[in-house]
Amino acid sequence: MTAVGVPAPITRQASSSFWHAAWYRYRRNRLALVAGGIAVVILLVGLLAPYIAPYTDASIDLTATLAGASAHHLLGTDQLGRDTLTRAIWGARTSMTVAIGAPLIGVAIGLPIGIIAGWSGGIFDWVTLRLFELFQMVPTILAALLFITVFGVNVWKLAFFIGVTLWVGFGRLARAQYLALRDRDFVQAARAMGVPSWRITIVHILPNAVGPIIVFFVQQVPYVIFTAAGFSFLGLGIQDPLADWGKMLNDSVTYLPIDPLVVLVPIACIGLACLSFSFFGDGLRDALDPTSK
Amino acid sequence: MIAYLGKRLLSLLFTLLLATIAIFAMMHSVPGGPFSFSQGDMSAAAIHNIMVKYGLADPIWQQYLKWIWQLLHGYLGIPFEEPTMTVNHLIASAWPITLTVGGLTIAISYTFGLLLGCVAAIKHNTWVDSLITAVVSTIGVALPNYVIGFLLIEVFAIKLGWLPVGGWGSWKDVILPVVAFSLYPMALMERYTRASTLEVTYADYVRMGRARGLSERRLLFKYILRTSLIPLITIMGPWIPNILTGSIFIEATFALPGLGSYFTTASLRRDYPLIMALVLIVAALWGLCFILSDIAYALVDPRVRIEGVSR
Repeated sequence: MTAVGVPAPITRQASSSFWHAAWYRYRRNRLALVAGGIAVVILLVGLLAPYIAPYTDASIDLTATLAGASAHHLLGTDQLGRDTLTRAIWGARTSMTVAIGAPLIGVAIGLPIGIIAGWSGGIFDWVTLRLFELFQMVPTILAALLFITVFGVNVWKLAFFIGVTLWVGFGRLARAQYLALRDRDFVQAARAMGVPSWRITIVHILPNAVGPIIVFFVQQVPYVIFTAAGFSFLGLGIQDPLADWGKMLNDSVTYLPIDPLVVLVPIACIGLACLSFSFFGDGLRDALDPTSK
Repeated sequence: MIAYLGKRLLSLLFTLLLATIAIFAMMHSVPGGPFSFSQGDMSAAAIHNIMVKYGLADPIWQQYLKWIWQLLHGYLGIPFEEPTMTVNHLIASAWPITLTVGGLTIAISYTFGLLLGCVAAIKHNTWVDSLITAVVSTIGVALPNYVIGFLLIEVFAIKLGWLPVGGWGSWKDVILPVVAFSLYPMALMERYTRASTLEVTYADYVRMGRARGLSERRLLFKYILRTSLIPLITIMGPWIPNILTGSIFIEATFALPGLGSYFTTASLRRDYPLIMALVLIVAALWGLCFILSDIAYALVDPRVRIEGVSR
């Protein structure tokens, strides 16, 4: 078994130095570093919402509606007297659930299909390509809208519906990666050593293919935030009493002349999240694939 | 060329057939129908009457075949919500609005995106480049177009009173939606133009040309841009149908009676004939634009060849 044992440490070393180099490249990009930090903070805020929010998300104080900023309510209150800061924090939770959940669904569907298509080729690849074409025909937003109106909506459904429309992108990417990698020497070598196909695709190829998929994943996040907030804006997204940035904006639009804070806070949240994730994604792309520019 | 085109169009037709079947089946497979919410208390017989009138009592496959049959005759049915009109009329009145906004958006965003991208690439690593890249990518990416639209309304329509809040009628109604709608595609265009122009700027043949003493202007227009703009066809081509079929969010924000807003109301009210027609239009347009951008790519880039397409 020593003969087999020799190459293992070499591959491990090679791959860890790749991530090392990527981290080194990423670290030098100050904008991406800050953006990534903010993205992580937003995720943490969403995760820890029940512990850090000053009030509970649905606590209503009808004596203090649209009260403006004060010591009790740092960012003021909305038209029902709910604390805006609290709503923004809980909004991070719902918005991030959808923003991360939807691409996860997309990966869960697209990755296996793309892998099998790219790896096996032949008739399955042909069918998959036709599927890609079919699903590409209907724009994602319209498809998600149709799903929502037909099947109803809550946080998980919203993530699922948007995610389902994202699978084609992940599928295409995974297929292209596997198509490019399946005839490389290290795959041939693994084959020659008798490694089963499933093990080659997952253990040998996946670590080499995962970079662009991670980048694509992060790049989808701002898009999902846009879309999800847009549905809330149309009144088709998250429903009361849950807080969501798009919904906060939609609810408060009419109160702008009375209290600008109720409108500006959700806008700032959406803008900050979109910007941080998109610069984070750009930084990741430059770090993981130094040849692209 | 013709054989290739025929093959692509045939595959498009087949895909459209599959897509319409899938959507037809999906809409009919869930509980609830177009008349289950709106009519209030009605006897079962009355509801049955309505269902028969609109052909909803037939088996689904029969309804689908009937729809296809009517479609082949160019007739898209009667929208449930406005029984005095036909879907054809409704679309004929809504689409020009969407097309006007979409067409202007494409013209403005692509032109400015292209210009800014070129300028940024030419002035690579100067303050001009950083400024353009920072401002354009930030504006385009930070906020969704409907939020930008809402802010524009707030400033230009309510505070300053220069332009109307929304609706459709005079030329003034076009300005704000187009501006709000243009920013994102413009940012995209700027980014891709800059990236692909930069890639070419440092190519060997450009360096060679410079070494031979060609003027910078000649280098730029004859050598760099001609090559660098090619990839944009495949990237921005598929964006065209996206813009031409309208944004549901933009149309909702500015209360434009275009295709996008009909899509929202139609799918909310299960207005089957209207949804089917809209899906068909959107999907056909997408398919066509994909085919066209593939062909355009093969025509301008000699390295790309499609089987059967000769130049």
